[in-house]
This record gives sequence, structure tokens and C-alpha cells, in this order.
Amino acid sequence: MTNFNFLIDGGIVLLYLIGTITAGLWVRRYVRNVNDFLVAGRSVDLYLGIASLAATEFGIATCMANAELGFKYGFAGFTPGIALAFAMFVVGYTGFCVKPLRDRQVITLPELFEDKFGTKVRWASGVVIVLGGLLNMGVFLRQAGNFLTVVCGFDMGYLEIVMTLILLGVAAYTILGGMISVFITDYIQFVVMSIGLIAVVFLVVYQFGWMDMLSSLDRIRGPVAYNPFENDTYGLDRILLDVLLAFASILTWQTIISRVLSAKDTKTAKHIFIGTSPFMLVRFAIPAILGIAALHYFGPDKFTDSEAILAMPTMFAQLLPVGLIGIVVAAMLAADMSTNSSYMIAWSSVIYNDIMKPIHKGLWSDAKGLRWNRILIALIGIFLLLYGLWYPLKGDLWVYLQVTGTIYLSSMSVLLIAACYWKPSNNWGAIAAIAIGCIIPISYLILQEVPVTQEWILAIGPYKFGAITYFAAALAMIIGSLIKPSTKETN
Amino acid sequence: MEHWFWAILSVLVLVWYCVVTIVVAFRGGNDIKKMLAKWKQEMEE
Repeated sequence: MTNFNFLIDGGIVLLYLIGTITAGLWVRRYVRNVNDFLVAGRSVDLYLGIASLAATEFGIATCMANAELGFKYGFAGFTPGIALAFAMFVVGYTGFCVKPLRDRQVITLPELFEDKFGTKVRWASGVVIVLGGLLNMGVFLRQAGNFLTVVCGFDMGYLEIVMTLILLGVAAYTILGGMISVFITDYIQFVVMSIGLIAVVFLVVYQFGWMDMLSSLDRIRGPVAYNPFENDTYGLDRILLDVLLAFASILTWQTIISRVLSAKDTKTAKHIFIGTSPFMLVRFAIPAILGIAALHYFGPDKFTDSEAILAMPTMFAQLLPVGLIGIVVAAMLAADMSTNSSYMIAWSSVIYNDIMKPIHKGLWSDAKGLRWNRILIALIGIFLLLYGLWYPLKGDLWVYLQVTGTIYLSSMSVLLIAACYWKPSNNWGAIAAIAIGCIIPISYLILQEVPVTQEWILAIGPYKFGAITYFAAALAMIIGSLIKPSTKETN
Repeated sequence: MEHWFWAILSVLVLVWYCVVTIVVAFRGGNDIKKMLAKWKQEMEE
């Protein structure tokens, strides 16, 4: 059952889609070379940077994952947002790592690593970043399809068609206009997304009553909903992973870093981080409030643990009136399109700039470089579609995003800090950190699917696995760097 | 006590988001205008 009206709400969504895709296609005329395509000519100013970073880091998958946290853990679900906001503010204020990174005028992180650790580490870093990034992004499309199918009341048989249409819309302007189109559409998407989110939160709180929502939360979840340390329901190991992941992603997640690298100067890059830091909390708080509202609306028994992710969209479908539901669907589409376009271009930039470096050696013409970047984005789109159709998500979506993100965040954050601030670090340490950072989370993903090891893996849990990976990667960097014979200088 | 902490945090988050949406909507639009004008000039040169 849904209140979505195909004439009125569908019209609102169509209007948004035509507007944003037209804007994205219109600015493609400004793309002259690979630099324009990948970092928008490094001309982005503060407010556009904030809009773009905020829109990129809030997609349908994030919204559903964080609403699920609110549904299951109440206000304790804010925890990753508090950690991310704090980490982004600290990094922006101090310029830790981002200052040397922006000053060097690189396009990607591996490019920075080449000077310190050599060409092989640059290539290996590129592979790890793309592997972790694509696995992470692989579930976005299915979550967007699930959301739209539930809210618009499509038959589940149309899920694949919905996923394909979303992807085609995003790919069209990203392939043609690159980062320039991404920035312009991100701005439109930030405004549409924010209006929709703010409207729906006010409506839900007005309709249910804040105190009534809290009473339901008290009754159903108890004190653990207010204190992440209480009874270990959210857990210290999970909080530790949230904090490690927050700092690592702020420092090295390619879609975040690409905003720093696109900024017109280092000062603007730092201010973009400081200005966007509260949004990292918004990104968790607003969906978590909507998750708490869904818990109040449906109670704890309507959705099983694995179906909890559908609580928020189901509430939207049943609760929102005609007109507003169209605005919310447009807002969520905006959130998702900005995320998908930025992620596609982020991973394609690493593939072209770092993994394909031994092939093009930086000697290809701008026309050939642009052509290859466009082909790579199209290939990433095809991968996303196939992976989204094939991979059956188990457990919390946020946990999946954390584990796959850890594949590269653990080692890349260690490499970045070492490259910027630890003189004795070298390529042995870098390779050891990359290997350890990859092996532990991938082992977790594989072993949780194997019946013999499933029970053992679940007993340890993803949080301990994730947290151990960060410390192990740092240790590997230290040991690897120190055991390398000092006579052979490679820096 | 914990209820009040989360209530205040939620209100602050919403107020900040409303203000930033308005500010970024206007000033981000200006940033785009300036950026496009700069590129247009560079292309003409």
C-alpha cells in the first residue's frame, strides 16, 4: 500500500529528473582536458564544495542504513555520525594530512604515495582503493531500487528495471561532463535533498509527537537506545571501529578527498571540511530519527532483523500525503544520483590515474584520456548493475559498508599518515600494510559465507575484525619499514 | 537526563541543517556563476 500518485508525485519526480540531467549535460561543454574531467579544473569554491561533499556522502543506501541503526539502536545509532563530525572538524581545523595532500596538487592518493614508496606501491594502492570502493558501492543500486520499489509501490519484479533506469540517468551526465557535471548536479541535488529531508522530519515529528516517539523507544528498546555503552548492545568494539573508520574515511575516502583536491586552494579545502563537519552528524541523525519514528509507527515485530532496513521506506509509503511523497522520492533520488555519480568518477579516476599509469605513462592526448575515462565510468556502471543484482546482503547494511570500506581505509590511512609524517617509512612497510589491510576484511566476507566457519566468524563479529585490521595494518607498516635493510634507499 | 541530551542534539542538528541549506543554496549558486564565468573567459582566450 502506498500513497504515491503517478500523476502528481510522478510529475514532481520527472520534473526533477529532467532539470538535473539537463543541467548536468549542459555544462559538459566546459570539459577541455582530463584535469577538468577529474577535478573540475581545481576551481571549486567553499559553498559549492560543501554542497557537493554533503550531497555525495548522503545516498539512499546511507539513509536506509542509518535509519536501520535508529530503528534497532535508537539514539545510540547517532554514534558513527558524532565520530565522523568530530573527525572531519579536527582534520579540517588542523589540516592534518589534507594540507600536504592538497599542496602537492595530486589527483589521487596513490599519486602521492609514488614519491615516498615507489611506483609498485602506487599501483597496488590503486588496486586496493578500487577493490574496496567498488565492493562498497556495489550494494547502493539495490538499496535505491528497494527504496523506490517500496515507496512508489512497484511490483518487486520491476526492481531490476528501476535499478537500471537510475544508473542510466546518472551515467549519462557523468560520462559526458565528468566532475564538472557532478559538481553542478550535486548542488541541485543538495538543495532538493535537503528540502525533502527537512520536510519529512518535521511532518513525522508533528504527526507522531516527539514525546510519544520517545515513550515507544523507552518501552521497546529501553536504556540502551540512549546510551551506546549500556549493556554492550551497541558495544565498545563497535564504537572503537566507528572512531577508527571516521578518521580513516575523512583522510582517505576518494570521494571525500576529491573535494579537497578540487578546491581552489588549501585554505578553501580546510574550510570545506570544517563547514561540512556538522553534516556528518546530520547524515546519521536525520535517518536515525526517521528510524525511531518507524519503530514507533510499526512496533518491533512487523519487521524481522534482516527486514528492518525496509521500515523507513514502508513508513514513507503509508504515511506521506500525495505531493510530499513525490518531493521525498525526488529528494532521495537526488541523494542517490549525487552519490553514484561522484563514486563512479572517483573510482574511474583511480583506475585511469594509477592502475593504468604503466600503460599510458601520462603521455596520452587529452582526447584519448577523456575517452578512456568515459569508458571506465561506463564499465563501472555495468559492474554496479551486475553486482547489485547478484550479491545477497546479510546483516546490517552499515556493517557491510564498514567492512568493505576497511579493505582500503585501514591500509591507505596508514600509508597517508606515514607518507606525510613518518620519515623512516618505506615500500616494505607500505606493501605489508596493504596486504594485511586487504586480507583480514576479505577473509571475513568469505568466511561468513562458508558454513563450517560461519559460527566462529559470527562469534567474533565484524567490529572486532574491522578494528583489528587498522591496528594490524599500522603494525605491519612499522615492522615492514624497520626490517628493510637500510643500505638500499628507495625513498 | 539522556532524553534531554538527545533532544537538544536533535534540535541543534535540524536548526543547523535548515540554516546551512539556505546559506549554501544562495552562496553555492554564486560559486557556480563565478566558476562558469571563469571557464567561459578561459575558453574565449
